[in-house]
Amino acid sequence: MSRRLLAAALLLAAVTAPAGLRAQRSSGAGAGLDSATSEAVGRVLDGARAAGLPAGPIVAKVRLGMLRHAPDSVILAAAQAVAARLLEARRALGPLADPADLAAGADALGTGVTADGLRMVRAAAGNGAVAVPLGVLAELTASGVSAGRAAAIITALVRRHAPARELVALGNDVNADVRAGAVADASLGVRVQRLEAILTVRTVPSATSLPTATGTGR
Amino acid sequence: MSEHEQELDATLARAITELRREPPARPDAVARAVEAARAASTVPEALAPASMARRRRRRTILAVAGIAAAACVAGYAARGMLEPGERAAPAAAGSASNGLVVQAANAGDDPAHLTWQFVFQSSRAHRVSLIGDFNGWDPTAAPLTRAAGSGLWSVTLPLTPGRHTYAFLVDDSSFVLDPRAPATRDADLGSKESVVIVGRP
Repeated sequence: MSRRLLAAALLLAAVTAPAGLRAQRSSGAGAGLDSATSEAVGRVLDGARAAGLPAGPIVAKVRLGMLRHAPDSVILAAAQAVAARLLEARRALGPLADPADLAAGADALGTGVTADGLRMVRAAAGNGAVAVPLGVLAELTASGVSAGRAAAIITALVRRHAPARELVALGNDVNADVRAGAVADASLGVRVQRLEAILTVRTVPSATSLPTATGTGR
Repeated sequence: MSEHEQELDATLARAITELRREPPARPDAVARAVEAARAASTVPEALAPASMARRRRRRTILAVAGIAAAACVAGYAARGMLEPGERAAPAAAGSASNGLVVQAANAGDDPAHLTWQFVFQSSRAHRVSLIGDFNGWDPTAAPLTRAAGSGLWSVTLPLTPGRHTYAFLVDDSSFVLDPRAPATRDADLGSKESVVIVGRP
């Protein structure tokens, strides 16, 4: 009797395992979604991979949606939105952008940064990595700084070879000011003066002034 | 292995990790090391027997190594007293004490990643995980370890430079933001997550 039970269990496992494995292979993130949504998410992922885009940010968004108990339709829309932003980020950052830069670009687009803003930072950084300046740009925009002004200032700082730690500090300081009740654009205007002083003291190829009141609103 | 021994091992492992980070030596320790080296070289080797010169160099090397090791331990102790969690008291505007201080990367680190520590405080939680875009929001990828005798949980992991969103998952069910970090609203889901920007010095 026990051998029959064992054989039945093995047979059952053999039948169900491939389906489970297929679900895992397709996305690694579809478990828990209804079948239609899971298939649709799988198509989004397949399309992103076929386009040479990183699938990680899409999978992460789906998992976050599931953790947050978002409706399946919202999760699918979120996956599609991330894929679209990754594609737009690659158009703006160029075909040689690595997955980290693409993810940073897609993240920035999600906070309100424009594709032009991505192009400006890319042009200023040359062949250097842009994940940190784009991350700070995203944070400034998310804090309420107008997208155009934030992009112009970050671009100018990157062009003047501002160290990553100073860019990060700028983003953190503006965020802290906003949490304390300050207006984001005003905070940026004040905080950037410190960087202006630092970069003026350093020997840099082009000591152009940072923009102060430019850019359009979101 | 008893729970106490496991905690000791975790503490010891963390100590080893911190020591391997080679925190900056205290200036006075460096000065003592330089002075010791200078004093050791005041007697020209040509005037001393070769064996005495070798012994003298050996003592100098040992002294310098001992002072450097003491400086490293002192630096570790100082760093231990300035953990991000403790630094994350309510921050004054313009300070870097909001838990988002950029940490220096060591020469031995993977150049594409920076070591980052996350700290969570709860004396009632049974399990805490770190979830974020850097681990695909996977609740199993980065469990936090509770420090013995305290409500402080922590995990250290490598992060790529840039902006990251994250949260803590408490007891497999509660999605908790980091009170020491700014929050942002997800563009697609509308939910709130904590934010950290990681940058190389």
